[in-house]
Amino acid sequence: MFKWLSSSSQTSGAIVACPGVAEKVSVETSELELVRKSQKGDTEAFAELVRKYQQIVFNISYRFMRDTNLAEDMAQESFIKAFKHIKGFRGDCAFSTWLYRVTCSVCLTELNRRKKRAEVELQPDTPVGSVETKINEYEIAEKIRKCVTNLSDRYATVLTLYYLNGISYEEIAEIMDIPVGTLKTWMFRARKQLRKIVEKEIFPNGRDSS
Amino acid sequence: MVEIPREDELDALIESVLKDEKLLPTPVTLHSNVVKRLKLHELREMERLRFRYLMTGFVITVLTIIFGVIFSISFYKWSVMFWYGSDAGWGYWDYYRTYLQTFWIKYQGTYSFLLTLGVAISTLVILLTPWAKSHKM
Repeated sequence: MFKWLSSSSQTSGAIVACPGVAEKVSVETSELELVRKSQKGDTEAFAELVRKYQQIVFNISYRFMRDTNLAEDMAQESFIKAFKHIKGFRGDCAFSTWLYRVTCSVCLTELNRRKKRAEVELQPDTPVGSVETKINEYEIAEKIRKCVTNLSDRYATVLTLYYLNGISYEEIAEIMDIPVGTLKTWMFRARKQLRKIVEKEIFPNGRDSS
Repeated sequence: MVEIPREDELDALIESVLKDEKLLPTPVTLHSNVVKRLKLHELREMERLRFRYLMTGFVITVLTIIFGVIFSISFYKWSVMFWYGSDAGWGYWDYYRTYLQTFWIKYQGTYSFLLTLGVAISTLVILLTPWAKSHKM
């Protein structure tokens, strides 16, 4: 059932001499145990997984939604959805990868739903000319971060995950189910698209040629 | 005052803004709320399972009765039952026909017979109206 479970147990004998690695293996094994129990419907075991991943899931949600209350709702929704579908988790990838995929999916669905209802706006109606004087650096930073949510789903996801500490390139590729090469191409295109959106939304009066 | 950056400066600005964003602390209520919702989900699943068992039991009982009846009456000889049975279906028909021909108004069963006929026709009309409408469209 668990491909990675058998591979972990096979290697644990060989690395028992390295305490650091052995510790990591035991942590992974306990996580697998929790996943296995959760698959049998054990909510206590899943609560432990929630405790472990709540910060990263909350932060992924926040970066998509840009609102702490909404992010909390989305994080809750992601965990509940993950629990409902955990029986479908075959163990082809790490549990965290699968969980982040669920989180991205939940957030993007909600974001698109809100976009359709025109709830998400980037306040583009700031009068031209007053931009430079009125908004400070903090506001610009916030606006740029908000612009990420205006990208297409795939680009928003890769950028969000890339700039979130703790998720490697390989893991993002796994979450998106694409090769690393494709991920790099998407990253390039995402940055390019983001620059265009930032220019349009934050500096609508054009770039200074001087 | 914020100056409008050049293209490379804008790229650098975007990069630094996205890179510098700190991880937010997790809301204290997140874990407890998820646990509460998990418990609710668990209860709902238990109820769903209970309902499924109940319905399965009900369906099995009904099917057992139906098949039991079919099995028991499968031993009957229907032609004999109809023509020579104790009540005899054909006999019933004769009985009603004779009564209706001779004492149509006086016969007590006329009213209930007419009422039953009326109800049957109304039921058929009610049942067939949506079907007829859907076929018209």
